[in-house]
Amino acid sequence: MRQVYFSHSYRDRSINSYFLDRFVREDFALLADQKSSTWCVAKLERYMLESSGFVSIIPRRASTEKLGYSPYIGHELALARRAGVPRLFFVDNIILEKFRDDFPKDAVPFVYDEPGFYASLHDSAIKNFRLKLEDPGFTPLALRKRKKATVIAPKNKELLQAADGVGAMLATSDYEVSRLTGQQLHSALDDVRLLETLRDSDICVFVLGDRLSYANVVLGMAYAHCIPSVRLRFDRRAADTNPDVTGLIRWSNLDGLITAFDEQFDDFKFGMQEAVGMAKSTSSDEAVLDISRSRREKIAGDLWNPKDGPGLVKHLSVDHAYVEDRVGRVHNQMGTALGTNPGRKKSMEICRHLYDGLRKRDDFVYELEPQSMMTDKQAIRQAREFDANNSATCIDLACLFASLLEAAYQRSVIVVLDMPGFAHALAGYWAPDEPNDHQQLDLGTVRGAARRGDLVLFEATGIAHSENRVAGETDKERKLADDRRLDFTTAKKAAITLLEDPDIRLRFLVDVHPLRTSPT
Amino acid sequence: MEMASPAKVYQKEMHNNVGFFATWLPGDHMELGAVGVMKDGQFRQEATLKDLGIKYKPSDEGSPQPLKYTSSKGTSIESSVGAKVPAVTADIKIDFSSEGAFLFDALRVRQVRIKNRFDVTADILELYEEGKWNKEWYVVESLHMADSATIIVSQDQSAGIVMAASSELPIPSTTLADPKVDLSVKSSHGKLFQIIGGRNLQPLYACLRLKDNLFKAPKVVPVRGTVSRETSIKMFARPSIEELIGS
Repeated sequence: MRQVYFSHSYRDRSINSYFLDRFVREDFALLADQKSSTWCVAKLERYMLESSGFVSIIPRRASTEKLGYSPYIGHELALARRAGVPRLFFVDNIILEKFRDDFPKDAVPFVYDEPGFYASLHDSAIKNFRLKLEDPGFTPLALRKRKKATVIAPKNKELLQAADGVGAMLATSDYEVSRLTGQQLHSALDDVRLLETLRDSDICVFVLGDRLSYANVVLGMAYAHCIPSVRLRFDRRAADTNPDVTGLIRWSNLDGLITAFDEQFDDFKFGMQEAVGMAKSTSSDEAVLDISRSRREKIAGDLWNPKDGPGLVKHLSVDHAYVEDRVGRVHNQMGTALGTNPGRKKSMEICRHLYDGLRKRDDFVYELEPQSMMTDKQAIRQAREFDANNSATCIDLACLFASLLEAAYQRSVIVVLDMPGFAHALAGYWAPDEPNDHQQLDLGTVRGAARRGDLVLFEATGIAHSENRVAGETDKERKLADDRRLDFTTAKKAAITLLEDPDIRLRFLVDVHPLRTSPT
Repeated sequence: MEMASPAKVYQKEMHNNVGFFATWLPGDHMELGAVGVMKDGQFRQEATLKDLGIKYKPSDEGSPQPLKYTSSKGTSIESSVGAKVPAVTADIKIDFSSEGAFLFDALRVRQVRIKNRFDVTADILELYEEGKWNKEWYVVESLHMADSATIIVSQDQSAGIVMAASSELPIPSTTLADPKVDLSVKSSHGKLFQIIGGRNLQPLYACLRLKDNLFKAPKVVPVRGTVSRETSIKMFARPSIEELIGS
């Protein structure tokens, strides 16, 4: 059975499940990359070379302000076209119509809200694709090589030092490391042995300076041949080392470079999941859910003990540039200082603007907490830690809103509720005219405050795409909008519905401001 | 006198359900801006904000909604007609198997609250500074009003009531508070507190009081012109249900 690379958007599970069902019937082996926070193009290049084909499902990624599709999937498409592997693209018909030139002519349309509308067209496309793959004349471009790596760097003291660090890391993982530098690079176009070295490598690492050099020529060769490559370019202005959509990493210091490469290399070594086999042993829905759940990775920073309400304050990001920017936008929109003339109407307006801003501009997607062996600790993403997928759990988003509201001079709160089988976090704030001295913060007090409007709570995951209802909202409310997000009014209603549920229990209400001001 | 146990159960459970204090006795009159003390689980009015020269602005009434709760245990309700059978007369039997078990069924419940809370709290602080505000006083700042309600609280381990209901509408689809349903008590056993189809009640309220540690504050009254009246709210506290039932 030939392996096919399966490119898809993690968020559109029902569509993925629909197509996976059809591939199960045809007995494909679809390799899918489990969701992770690292975007590693070298790994994709590797699997592209080793696969017999490429399948991609391209749904819309809609928000109120723009209609488009994931740039990451777009890059995978370009990669497949560059590698020249047999391909099968299923594209949302609206996207196909709007971005016709982005896709090859053999792209097959599907209807986002009713994928089965073209079911027979999809089935015949899958059958034909299978026949194409069975052609004995076609073999994958490359097979898994020995553990060989090549590190390429121009002759420059700092860059060579960085290349040494990268080489040492590769060697620690038992890779046989070749180095290309200096004069060797000058003969790139004439000395075929150099190209052979690249093609013989499992991975190439380019440590580049801020100026073009012969190393860039070699990179061009590797690029044209779709050779798995990590690109690390020195840029003294680089604010972080997150890869861009093409995989390029900018670094400004050696420590940053080493950390970034470590993440890339870890992800590179991580295998893919075989989606059809998973679907056969459970169901397509389950397989899609497993693949779209973030892989448990090394966790940076402190973990949170879910029983420690006040401990959440350490996980807020009030001073982060992202938070400052979003609050600054609201300030500009309202044209008034956010902290003066407090009142219920003003607080509501601030909160609504913050919510709407994130819902329209930031492409968050809701995910469950990744599975973990730890029962007493949980990772929380702070503003700086939202990854390329913009995945977020309810507690991630509740903390984000608590940060935003606090930065906007509101008395932010996080409420954690327990229900049979799961727990859920809501975000909100105290009205400015509510005392901060509550003799008891039990469920009744919270319910009463919410009824009176003294406490405004909302479903923080409402800003994030989710295929199904998350907590207090209905499936229908989730699906009302193309982007599967909730408007602010519905997000507030969802929070109240949940709060009034007779089966809920209050784990705690974290009142951020007093925790900040009280002595520890 | 310590509050009787059945009333405590009712108070606690209603607070847990809606987050407001339940008026006790449920038929007692309660008004927005009432000022008083807590005693034996009851709010005892001693004055009003108006009496004390404090102007307050009531909010618009919220949208009317039904409120229906029974105690978490010990209450069962049976109707002599099935759920699907339209009937205009029925016997409704309510059994209580624990002290404090209750039924609360209210229609057209609207909420009203004091809208200018910053002003009111600032004025209260001024009265306090002048020695005209009793530190033990509570002020009712939010109220639930019901057009009609049936509230029954069992005061025995075992009690019950059978009511005859007649209506032009099918009985199972109506509530025990619906004025269109004519309710009359056919029989009862055990000790019960009951309001059947009561009109214009104020069954739930919320209040504020001055903080306990007020004396620690460097300056209680916001100084006009230098400190905004908004800071006055910091001198107030939201009492707990334990505070009410332990009073």
